[in-house]
Amino acid sequence: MPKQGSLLAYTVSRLILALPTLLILLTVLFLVLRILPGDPVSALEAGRHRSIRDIAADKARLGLDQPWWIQYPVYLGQVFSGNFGVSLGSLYLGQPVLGVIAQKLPATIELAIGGMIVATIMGVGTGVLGGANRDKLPDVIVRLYGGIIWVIPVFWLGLMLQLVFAVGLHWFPPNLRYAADPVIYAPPTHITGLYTLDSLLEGSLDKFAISIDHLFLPSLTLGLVVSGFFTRTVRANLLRTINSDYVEAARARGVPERFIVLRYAFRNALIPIVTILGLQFAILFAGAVLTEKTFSWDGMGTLLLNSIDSRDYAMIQGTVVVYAFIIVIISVIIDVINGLIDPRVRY
Amino acid sequence: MILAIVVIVILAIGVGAAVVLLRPAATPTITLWYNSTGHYGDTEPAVAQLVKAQIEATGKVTVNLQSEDWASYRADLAKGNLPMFLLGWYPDYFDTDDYISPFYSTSGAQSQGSFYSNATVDKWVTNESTTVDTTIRNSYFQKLQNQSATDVPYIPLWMTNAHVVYDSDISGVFLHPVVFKYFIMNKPGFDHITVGTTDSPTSFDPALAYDYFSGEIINQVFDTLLVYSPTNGTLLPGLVTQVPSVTNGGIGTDANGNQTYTFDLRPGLKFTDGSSLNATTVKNAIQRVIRLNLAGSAEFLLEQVAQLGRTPTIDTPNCPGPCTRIVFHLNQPVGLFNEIMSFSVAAPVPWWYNQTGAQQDLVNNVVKVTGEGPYQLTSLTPNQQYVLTKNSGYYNPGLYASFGIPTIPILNKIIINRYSDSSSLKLAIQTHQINMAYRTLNPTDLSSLQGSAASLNLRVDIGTSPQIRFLVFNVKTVPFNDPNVRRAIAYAVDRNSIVTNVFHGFAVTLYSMVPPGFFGPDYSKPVFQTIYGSLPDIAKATSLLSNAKLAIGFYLFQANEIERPWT
Repeated sequence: MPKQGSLLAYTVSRLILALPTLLILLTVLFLVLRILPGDPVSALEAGRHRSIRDIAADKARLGLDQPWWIQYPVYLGQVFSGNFGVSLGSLYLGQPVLGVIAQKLPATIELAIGGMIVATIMGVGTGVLGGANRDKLPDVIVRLYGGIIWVIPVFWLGLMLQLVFAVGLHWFPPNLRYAADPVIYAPPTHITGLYTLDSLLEGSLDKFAISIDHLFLPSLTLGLVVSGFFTRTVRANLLRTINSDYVEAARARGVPERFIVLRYAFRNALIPIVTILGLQFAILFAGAVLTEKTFSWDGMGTLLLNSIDSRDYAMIQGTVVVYAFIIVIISVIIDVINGLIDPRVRY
Repeated sequence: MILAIVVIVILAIGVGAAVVLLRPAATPTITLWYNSTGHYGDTEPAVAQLVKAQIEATGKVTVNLQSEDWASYRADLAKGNLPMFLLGWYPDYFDTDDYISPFYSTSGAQSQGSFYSNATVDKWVTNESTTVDTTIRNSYFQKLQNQSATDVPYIPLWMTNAHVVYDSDISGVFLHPVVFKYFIMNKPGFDHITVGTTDSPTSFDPALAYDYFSGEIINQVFDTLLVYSPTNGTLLPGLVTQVPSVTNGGIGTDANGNQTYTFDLRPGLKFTDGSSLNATTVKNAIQRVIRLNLAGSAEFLLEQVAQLGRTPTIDTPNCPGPCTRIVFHLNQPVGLFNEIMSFSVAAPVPWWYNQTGAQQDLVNNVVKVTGEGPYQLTSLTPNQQYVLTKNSGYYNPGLYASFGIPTIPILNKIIINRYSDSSSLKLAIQTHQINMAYRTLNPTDLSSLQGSAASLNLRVDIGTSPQIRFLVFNVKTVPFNDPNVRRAIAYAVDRNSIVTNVFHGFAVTLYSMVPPGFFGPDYSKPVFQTIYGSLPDIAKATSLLSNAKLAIGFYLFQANEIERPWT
């Protein structure tokens, strides 16, 4: 048995706790998708001229004609066995839902990671700049940035970046995940589905460059919007630690201010940032839906929008459940990282 | 005392709920559907909003807007699930009948989702399509258009232009009235081009496909018995050796007095998978379309318009053997048979195509679209990318030699990428991410590209197009089963407002389903202008809606997703 307070014990406990979290999440999803007034079939059929018999047949096909206490265990059984059924929509009709999601997920993961890198660099960078220069011009600019960037609609920002960097400066392609011309620029061989990683695994720096080229603008768009929250949090945490006793003590001993900020205050200010990093991933995935639309990026967001358009209930449910799984897994990872950098949380 | 209070409270709640839920609804609700995924470009929501406002100006009805993706939209309208919706039409063949049969014949109207049926109209449609006499045809076309404005299963709204934007060094780009031909295009120094579109297909099975983008791909991958000349509506021999005519003996009469069309296939034809294409293959393909009769397909063109009937009589007199002759026996003489044989629905498919339903385009991620045309569909990523690769064994590379195009296809590959909307498509062509943008840029983007075309080394071709846009009513559903409701909406719509506010002049108003000035004799008559006027007449619309047999709707029932406040 792992010793209490060890990282292993902490990790195991987080994993065990993740199960009820997941269960609660899945239950909420179940309630939202199936139990709340206006079942999904009726909602999806709204405005259509369909006979009550046809609608009843659709409900029966999806098991929605059963009472909730029968639907619930069946639903959980399907989710945990990875059986999300087959697509009912026009685009992927008859294809296994999980198979389609597996094709699209890497694109969104790649975008989310890219967005998170941008958000972290921009958020932490501006946060430190503001915190270290409290009430001076850089701080005022950072506060303005943190406040404004957060509320800019992601599609508008995407369009502006496309106009500046793609149309105006010709630095980056305006959209798509890879070159529009697969004859000249063949995409990397599918290994993980992450184009950047697959390019490197294939040993092709050219393909890696093309992948990064296409990833840059969507990541920048998504990352900038999310960075506002980081900026404000890092700045506030940094200010709190800068004013703490141990920093004062360091100052009293003549430690240079730059050293204090970067060595002591910044590192301690980072601990809560790691926690919000996990929460921001959820927001990042939500923002990815609009970003994908703006950049014709063929990922989970586009899949979700297409599924809603084509009333593909099985695909909508599958996509949302996979999102839920990802969020829970990321939360566990973040908890473990927290335990790693701050041993106090393990107790 | 307490009990009395409880009873009073319960009664008050009950009465209050009844008053709230059972009070007459302010106005009945109807739903207007439109496509949300770029089949007609991204102007559709704006058009839908305008039409909604115009109908609601009567104060008699609330219009709810709903949208869905193109494939679902096509499927839903064919099943009769959409009560009122926006649709467009691009001709299948170059004749006025193509704006009549598919809309006003009983079988055609099913494909359009209106389910209009009028025995007299059916008879008129048959009469105009079975004669070549222009005077007789004119007489029937006038009657049909007049009746269309009386019955109003459709309201013609506007005509759009056709446009394509492309690298200025690409040659062979023609806005053909029926078929857009990639296989005659060339880009010096390149063996392929990349194309962008906002459109998405429904299916590449000729037995099901009946929309522009699906047809556009089918026309590159499948050849038909007859094909169009590169730039106009003249028919040329495709899979066959000659265009049947009375002079060459291709059009005749059988022993029963029925008209016959005889086609002789070129020898040694093969599909790209190596399977042979002979008279039996053609016969089976035509019979398959009619037997399957897939909802929303163009099956009615073969069965009804081409007069082949439910059980077509097709002879293959020299099979087994050379097996190249096909003789179609028609139930009635048809002037348009050759035109219909050049439409995608008549394209032969291999024997292994699904005989009980539509052939799936992708099976286990392998493309299952097999033709014998200039290109093969070699890669298909749904809603993302379509790659056409040169068919190295194409049977007739010299097809257009007499038009100065020595060999087709010219380019090795055509790569078509799908973009989410007009602005993405514009950015892609503007930054030369693609070589060509075809369907559909919105008027603002098109105008902007026109202004900067020279500096961007682009060409912008804008041409008049026989594409029409209109509103469809499913006349079997309430409240649109009442002609007065349809007429009221005909009075309410404001075409000028749509053309000005949405299309900034890149469109023209349309007052008949037959567009003016496209085909030989001009049979078009602006019947909707004559009857309903050029400008909206809200007073007449309101009056008609007031007199329609409308039951009182209740809020309680409006919460239900099934529309019922009108019944």
